[in-house]
Amino acid sequence: MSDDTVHDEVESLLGAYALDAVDDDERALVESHLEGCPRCRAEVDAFMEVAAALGNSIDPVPPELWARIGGRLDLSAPGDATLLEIRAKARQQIAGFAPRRVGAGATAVAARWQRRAMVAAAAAAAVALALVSLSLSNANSRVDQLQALAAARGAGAAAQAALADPAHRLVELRGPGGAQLATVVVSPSGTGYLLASHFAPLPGTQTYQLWARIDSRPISLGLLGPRPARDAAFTVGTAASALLVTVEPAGGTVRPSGSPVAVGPVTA
Amino acid sequence: MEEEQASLLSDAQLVVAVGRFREDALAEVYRRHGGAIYGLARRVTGDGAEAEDVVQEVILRLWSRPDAFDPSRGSLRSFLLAQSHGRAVDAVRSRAARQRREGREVPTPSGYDIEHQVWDLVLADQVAKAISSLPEEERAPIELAYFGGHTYREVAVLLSQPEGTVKSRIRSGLRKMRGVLADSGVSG
Repeated sequence: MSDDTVHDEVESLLGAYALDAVDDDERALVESHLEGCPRCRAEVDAFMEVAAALGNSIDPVPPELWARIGGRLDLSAPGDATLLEIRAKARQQIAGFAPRRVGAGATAVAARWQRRAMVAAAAAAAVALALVSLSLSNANSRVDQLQALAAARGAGAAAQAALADPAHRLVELRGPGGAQLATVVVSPSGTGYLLASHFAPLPGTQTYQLWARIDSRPISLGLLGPRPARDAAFTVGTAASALLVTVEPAGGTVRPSGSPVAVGPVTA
Repeated sequence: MEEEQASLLSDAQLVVAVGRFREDALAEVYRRHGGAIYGLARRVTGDGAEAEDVVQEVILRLWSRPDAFDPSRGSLRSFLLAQSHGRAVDAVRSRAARQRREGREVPTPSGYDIEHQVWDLVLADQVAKAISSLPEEERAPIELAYFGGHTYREVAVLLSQPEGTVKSRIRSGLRKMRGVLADSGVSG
């Protein structure tokens, strides 16, 4: 079959394919074509959404089933014996960056934080080596890949790099009603990037101002402007227990003048 | 070590956490979506035990292959439902093949009308509206294929229609539904 004939044949099968209503040969034909045909891919993705809407329901989760699934997790992860080890190492690596409250001045904070970063970088290198020697490096790369995917909705290169580091932290900023207003990724070195923002635009006389809660006190991290832009960067450091956003007059203020419009805990 | 509470993570972040072998994240995926995965599998297989097996397979596969989920192509719920549907259909077909091998009669889908009325009750309003906006010749093959787990060739036999006709009606029906659902904001 020529490429065009294959395309036409596959195209006519897309609906049935999305409903799992093709036989195995047809499925294989469609799937190999989809890899190289964005148009068919897009049509299938749309049909899959329709199918999911049809299959969606609000059934309660079956009781007891989780216990059965949870009991089988270790068996189905990559290699029983090494799994716990990988997990422990990953935890150790991330723990190296755990935020701690510090009462000292900014310089001391920076120095400690740099030391910690070096220790953690060494730990990260050791972990990477251990993973390679266990021939399980794909466990690590799948994490990178996933993070890249989660950020695929168009974050900038610096934010992407922060996401690709397994030791990054994500901060969800939520409004008083619980609505998610923004997501911030904080790199291991303490630089934060706004990944997604749903703040309502403000008039030009006002601005959003970002604060870090350090030792229960709000410290200004800077102005986000009346329309916070994705990829805005700021220094969070490692001592913040939470990020807050307030609405202030255009020039900003030295301390929050009202209650925050969004708050998010900073956790490891 | 303190980790961000799984219940506060978005679906995409949950999958990243699953990639780091966080069981609490997988448990949260189960809590959010397990019921829907089970509901669909149960409707397609008509069997609670088979449906539970499907849920288990789908959740365990997310644990071992979280990278198979691509958030740029759709929601986690859609992804999990597609997995649930595929496995439920496999279960139905292998059951039918087993019955044929054993020389038993394969039960033909009876009560199709009853079944789709039951479905209307549990579908979201917009989805029910979208499917009922279709002409019967498009609605019937979509429901038989999707809920009955039949291939379009089997649907063609059931409806005494040419295979090519069934194939194209499924596609045109899905296109119309996509339009209706996009207009009502359910899916785009």
